[in-house]
Amino acid sequence: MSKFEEIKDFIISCRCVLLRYNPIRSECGLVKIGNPSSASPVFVSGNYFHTVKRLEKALRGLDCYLLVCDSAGINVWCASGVCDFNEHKIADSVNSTGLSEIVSHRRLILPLLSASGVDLGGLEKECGFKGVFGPADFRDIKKYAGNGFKLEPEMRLVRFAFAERYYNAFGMFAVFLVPVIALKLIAGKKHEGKIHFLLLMNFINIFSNFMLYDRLPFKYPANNSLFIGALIQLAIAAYSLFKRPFRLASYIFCSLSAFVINFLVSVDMLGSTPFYKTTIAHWLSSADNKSLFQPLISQDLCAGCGSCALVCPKGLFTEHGGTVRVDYTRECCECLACVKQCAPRAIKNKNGPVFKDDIKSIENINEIMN
Amino acid sequence: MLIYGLMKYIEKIPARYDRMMNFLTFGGHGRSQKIIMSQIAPGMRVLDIGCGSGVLAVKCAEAGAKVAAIDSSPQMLSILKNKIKGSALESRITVVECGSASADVILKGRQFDVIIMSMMLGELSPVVRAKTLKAAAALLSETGRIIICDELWPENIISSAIYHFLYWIFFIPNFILTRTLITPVKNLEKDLSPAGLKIAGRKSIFFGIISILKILKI
Repeated sequence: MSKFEEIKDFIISCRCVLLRYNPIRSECGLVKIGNPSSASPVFVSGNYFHTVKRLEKALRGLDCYLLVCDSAGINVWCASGVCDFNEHKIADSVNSTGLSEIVSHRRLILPLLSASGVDLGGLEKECGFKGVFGPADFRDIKKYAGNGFKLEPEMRLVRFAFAERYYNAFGMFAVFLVPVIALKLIAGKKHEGKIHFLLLMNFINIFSNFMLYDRLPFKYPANNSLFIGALIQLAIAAYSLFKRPFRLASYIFCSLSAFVINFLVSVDMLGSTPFYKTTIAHWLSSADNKSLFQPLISQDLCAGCGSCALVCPKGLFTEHGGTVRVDYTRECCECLACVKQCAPRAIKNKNGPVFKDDIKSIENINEIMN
Repeated sequence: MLIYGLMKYIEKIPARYDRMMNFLTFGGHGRSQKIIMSQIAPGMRVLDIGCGSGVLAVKCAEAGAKVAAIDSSPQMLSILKNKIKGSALESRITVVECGSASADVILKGRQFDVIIMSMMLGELSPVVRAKTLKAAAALLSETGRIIICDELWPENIISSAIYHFLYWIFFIPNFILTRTLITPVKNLEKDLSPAGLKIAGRKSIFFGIISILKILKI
């Protein structure tokens, strides 16, 4: 790769991080990594530009193929939930690239987080390849390959490492920047000070939440966000008291706008982390951010195959001698991968019809859950 | 809450996709559908590739055709299934969930008189688009035709430059209103000949931005 291309890719990747909600697509196709032979493994990825580039780097040193499939430029976890990444998109890439003539085996390694949207039976029917779910984090791929393509339980777990957190912070900050820029255009120079204050509030709220994620006192990010808001309010009050002369209007403006921004960020923290998902109403009424979906296995339907345990990114399920158990001390994030992968539809919701319902890739979901 | 609002909005887009498309093209989307429908006669075997919520598939069935509608999104297809549930059209429309480039695998052995690909080629990557055209050619009967309705990049340099400019202006409303980034199709003819297809007729509407192509086997 030339220096020029590397710089170009870097600029596009920066653009991806800064404007996460307006995704850039990579072209679909088969990418050769190293010197792959017909027996080399095939890893599947969505076509979010930044992901594809990071994967190409992470796979260096392995001889393999990377099959880039259309996910409308969205990361696989989100895309799988909203039908933008599924078995049909993978089959299309397999059939378009003529993969069956390039490799001698019939095995695709899929990202574990695509389990919410991919039906493995349908995949085999449509392209002749068997899919297996690999690690949740691409950083584990080399370890997985070194382990003889055996997935250790911890490789299934989704982490929220620093690199992902700063990435989410930039994405959220860019969205919160839009109203501030709009205000600046409308209000003009006269209110510049106030607008810069709003900008600072946005920045402090969002970045402190994501960057200090695991060091804040509360368990749930939305509550931590309110905690940060309280600290900000204290700082504003102290500043207003010690600064002479005291201006009431200015204090009210600062305090109120800081509160509004903090509240908006708190609500977004409900769904912007991979750990907890709940509805706004539930959080406001209980300060509890626990997922409303809680898997309940209907033992008379369960076939004991353990598919749920193979795809759960939070490690809730354990399978022993054909019996599946749920560990409720671990927290579910309502990705519904277990429901999607359960062929006999044995996984119900402890809370019956009450859940967040973000996942659109499961037909008749309401009937299954009840 | 801003992101929550944005996500909730995006989630609801499939249900009003057609209305939005019509709005973005100042009614051109509706006009193009009329032109496509002029090709459909009762009794024809029609395949709608990338049918989405199935507006065209339903119209074809109403015109008396026997329709197979395929799409890769179960969310879009469930809108179509709900639309036809319990009506007389249910027996005339077969809904198949599969990828456009894998249509020849899933519908192996079937032949169609008309294959419609409306506003979908622009969403595909070049390699998938080329294979989709091959799959369509394999399912087309000897005397059948493919109707493609899509945005095509103009070949003329000046119109191409204007187009580039307009594309970057409409990029954001396009994404906000339809969730997908519809990129105009470049070099379609290059993909047609390897698939054994040729353009036999062309109509342009909406200032030449939307083209409706009639395609036959060579």
